[in-house]
Amino acid sequence: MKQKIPGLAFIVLGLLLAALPFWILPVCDQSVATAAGGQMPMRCHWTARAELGLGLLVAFGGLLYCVAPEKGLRPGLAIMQAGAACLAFLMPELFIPVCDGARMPCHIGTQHGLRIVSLLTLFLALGCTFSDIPLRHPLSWTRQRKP
Amino acid sequence: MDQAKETVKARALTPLALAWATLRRRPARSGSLCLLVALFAFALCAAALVNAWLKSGLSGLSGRMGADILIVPYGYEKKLEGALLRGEPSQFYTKVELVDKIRGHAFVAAASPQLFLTSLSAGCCSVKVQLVGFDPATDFSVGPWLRSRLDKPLGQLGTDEIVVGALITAKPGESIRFFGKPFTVAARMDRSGMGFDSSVFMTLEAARLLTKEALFAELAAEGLMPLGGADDADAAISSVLIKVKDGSSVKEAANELMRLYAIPYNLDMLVAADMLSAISSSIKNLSLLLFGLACGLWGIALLALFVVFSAGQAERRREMAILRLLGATRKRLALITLTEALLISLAGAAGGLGAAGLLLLPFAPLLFQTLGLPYLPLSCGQALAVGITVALLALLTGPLAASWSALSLTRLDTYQSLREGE
Repeated sequence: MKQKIPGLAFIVLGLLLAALPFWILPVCDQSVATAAGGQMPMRCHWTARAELGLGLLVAFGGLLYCVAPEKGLRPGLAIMQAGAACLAFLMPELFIPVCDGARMPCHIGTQHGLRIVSLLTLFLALGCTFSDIPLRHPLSWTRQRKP
Repeated sequence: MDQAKETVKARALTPLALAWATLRRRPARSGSLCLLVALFAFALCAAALVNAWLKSGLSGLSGRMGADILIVPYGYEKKLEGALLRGEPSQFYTKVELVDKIRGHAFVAAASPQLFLTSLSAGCCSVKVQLVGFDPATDFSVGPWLRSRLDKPLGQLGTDEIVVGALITAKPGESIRFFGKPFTVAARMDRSGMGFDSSVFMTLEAARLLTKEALFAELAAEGLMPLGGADDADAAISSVLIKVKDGSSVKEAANELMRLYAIPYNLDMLVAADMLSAISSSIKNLSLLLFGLACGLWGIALLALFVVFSAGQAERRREMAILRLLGATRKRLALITLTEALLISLAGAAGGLGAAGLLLLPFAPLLFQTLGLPYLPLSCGQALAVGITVALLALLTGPLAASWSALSLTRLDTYQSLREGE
């Protein structure tokens, strides 16, 4: 049971990451009219969709973490979760930035929420990585898998 | 030799080591006490920060208001309040001839018109902003504030130049388009804590040119044309700001102006002092509620720590008696209890302040935007002072609650305590 706690925490954080830009601290819901007369969603809409994917990935990683053998898959999964958390943090800052307006909901709410949840995920993933890999013998866990 | 030293060090019965060992032995008890102190620290920090933010926002608002009375078309006083406090874009129009008529009264020291326009959200990821046209020759409200950042006299601000609030993402020298017309940013203001932060300022002439010349078909299509149409743009203003002469009553002046002009011009008014006092009263109520909550949590934390330490002391009389036999002085026994309480407070204070920093600092703009109250961020020094005060109060909680238990340990009868329960 003890080894399942980080896995469950990953699932909760992943679902939070996925739900936050849509329901908890939603991004802007206005759309912009294009020259052709159509409606185009704001930039933060795509940030939210990217975060949905990353959040579900983190939750799926957490599920695998719960069922993974202790010294086999888990350190690798934890490293993958750390990578996904980094991506989730950088998504609204760098890859698909949220809107620039300082009073827009995505700028003053969603972005901060995503920062906090992705940082918590990153810290948890790093903690799991270092607790799963014996630090005195960094490669011992891989060696043990050899026949 | 080194190993022997390490062993001796590890077994040293210092008050800190003993207190730490006790806390680790009962993680659930220690954790719940830490949580109580953390809740108190969080609530107190929230109350202190919200109070300081709102007070600085209110002082910024009262400092920049300038006018005693604001005259607006009937039914638009809430819209003006929204524009002033929260920068909510709105536009409404009345006739310019009103300004000269108001200036003619003996109790009026100064009167200046303003013209409000709402930009179109044309580009991606932009929202409508409030455009404020002011008269540089007569303005006494925003003028002094704008002068603090402009590197030229206010009167020399061109019709293609604008001054932007702190929340508008444009740097001086950059160009922004409104209704298709490019404007150069002459200056960007510091945070004021009010709606001016998300407003754009231009001369009255520029605002009129914008309403008349720039894409007026688009304006008319959206129903944004002042009064009857483009021909009336020269005759349109949105509000008149009035400064009453010293010695004259603002209330009487407002009543007189309403009596004369309310019906012919379909006007309403906003008395600045009334608006500020209403905001001040909301701030007072909110602060009272938050500080009340923090005090209640402090009382609960103190009581819980007192009960836990008192009950724990009764359980640990034999342990303390053995420590006395091992050579610990009575003062040292008290010190162990106080250290234990201090460690709980330290962890609680760190947790509470950390949570406050993580949740309150980033989400403060969202909170105050939702509440619709003026807000001005604190400087690093002010925030640090709040943090230190809260940390000191939270740190005091544990030792204060455990002081009675610690004091009673100094009166411990070693022999009786050791024989108890035999």
